[in-house]
Amino acid sequence: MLMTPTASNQILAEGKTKVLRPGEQPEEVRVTFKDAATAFNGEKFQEIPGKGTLNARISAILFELLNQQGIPTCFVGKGASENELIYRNLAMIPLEVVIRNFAYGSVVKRFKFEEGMAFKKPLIEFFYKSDDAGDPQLTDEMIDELSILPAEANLDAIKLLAFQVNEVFLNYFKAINVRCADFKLEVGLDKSGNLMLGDELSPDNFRFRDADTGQVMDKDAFRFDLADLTESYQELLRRLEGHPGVPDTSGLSNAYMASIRVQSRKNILNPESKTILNALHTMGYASVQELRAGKEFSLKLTASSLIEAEKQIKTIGEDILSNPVIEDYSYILRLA
Amino acid sequence: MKVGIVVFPGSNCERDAEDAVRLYLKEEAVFLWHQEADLKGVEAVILPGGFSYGDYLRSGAISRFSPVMKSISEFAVQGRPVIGICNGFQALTESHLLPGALVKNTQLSFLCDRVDLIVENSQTPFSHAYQPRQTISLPVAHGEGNYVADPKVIEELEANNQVVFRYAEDVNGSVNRIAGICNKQGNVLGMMPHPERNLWPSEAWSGDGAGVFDSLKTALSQGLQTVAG
Repeated sequence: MLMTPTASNQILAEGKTKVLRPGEQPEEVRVTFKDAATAFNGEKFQEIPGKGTLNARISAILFELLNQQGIPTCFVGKGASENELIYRNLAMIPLEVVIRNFAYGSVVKRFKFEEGMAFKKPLIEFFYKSDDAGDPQLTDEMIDELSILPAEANLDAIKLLAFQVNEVFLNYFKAINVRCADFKLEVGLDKSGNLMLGDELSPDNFRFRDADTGQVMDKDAFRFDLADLTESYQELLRRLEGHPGVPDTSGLSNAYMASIRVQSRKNILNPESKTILNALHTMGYASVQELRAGKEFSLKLTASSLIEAEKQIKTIGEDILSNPVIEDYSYILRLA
Repeated sequence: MKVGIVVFPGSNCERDAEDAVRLYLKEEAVFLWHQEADLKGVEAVILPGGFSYGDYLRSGAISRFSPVMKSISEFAVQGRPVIGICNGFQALTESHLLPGALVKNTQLSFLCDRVDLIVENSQTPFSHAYQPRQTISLPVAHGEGNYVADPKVIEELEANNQVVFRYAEDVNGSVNRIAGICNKQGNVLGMMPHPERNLWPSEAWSGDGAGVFDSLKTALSQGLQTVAG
């Protein structure tokens, strides 16, 4: 066996369920999944031998799936031991991004939805990742107040990424008869400021139900003592490993809405903006200090997936609707 | 010599360009309809002025996606001569055959006038009939003739002598008073002023635009020397 230098065993960070150590490559970390099960913000705690390995294996399968679909994630590969994965090192954003397809858990308590009902469209919620504060829900203003987003990140891009992940999961889990009711994602930025999925993709962060029987296949087994956690996770892993493969979605035609905004670049003189601003001043609105005229295009489009739709929108925005010499463009893309 | 003149919906200077080739140069002119990819064996292409596709989106932006422009791009890459006048210049920048972009005139109004230009590079296939740094007078008619580009691009244009025509005085806010540029190879020219509208000297006109067409004819007959530098 090779001697591992002590420096690489140094713990960079340790949470309730994972330990991070330096990887062999400078921009990588080794993530060890612990055997701990926790719930209710750490109030309920139990050591469950083998849980770390189950979570690492399930996460590896789901990360691999997303990577194959072109969704940027932290996942690099499996580690030396069964409960270890290699991640790209990300600067994590302290957000918990929750996607809900069916009503379970806190959303039922808060809004009195009927448990298990399907939402018209997937919902997204943001929570502050802070054990001290008890992971409270966030509003846009609170996200600003707490300076949660770094300058390179924006909430629209995070939402789009989360919905893209959800679309892939919904198609994937359908094939193994699993209802993907809700899940939590965490995102971060790599060294170059690219938004990527981080954290883990284990049943700790999901609500999975057997599509026919409603049988629990996630941490609710432990949270509410509904079933044996190891058996539930093993059943999920068994189905994932026997998965027929990524379903071919290229023939799908889903409807999406996009809004593309084109504005002249800040350092490019825009006589139109200047003239409108002058006109406002002439009319007595001296209070208007800045004005940028732009164009907005509203598009309805169909594509096989949100990922494909985004590719189209980017090409349309970059190559046609804007002229990169003089203009910038931004877009919002969502389900129709 | 056979010259192709592109016609987009909204072009309005194709007849003037035709006059320049047929009446002035006494050469053959053919119209190239925007939906046709066939360039009909022409030796040079003129993109005339006008408001192609109603100038929707941005001047010249939509014309880039027409079948004829795909063929012209290939034609230009082969080193064959292409002249874009006014809206044609805008189409060439939108098609990335020339760098930069043309935005609204700083004064915001449509500029319809006769302006003095300095021939900055008289070595190109479109300008060698002029004397070095000769001052010529040409009509201009545009709302978006304000040339902009990254400072780095401007520096390169100047360093490579790609600025072919410069306004003697600022008329629309163009960086460095740029009125016309060519690509690095020198076979693609874009200019806002209209040489085809000033071909024959008269009491009112100098005939200064003839040099562009005389240059092209000589260049083609001599096997086109494409020198920008």
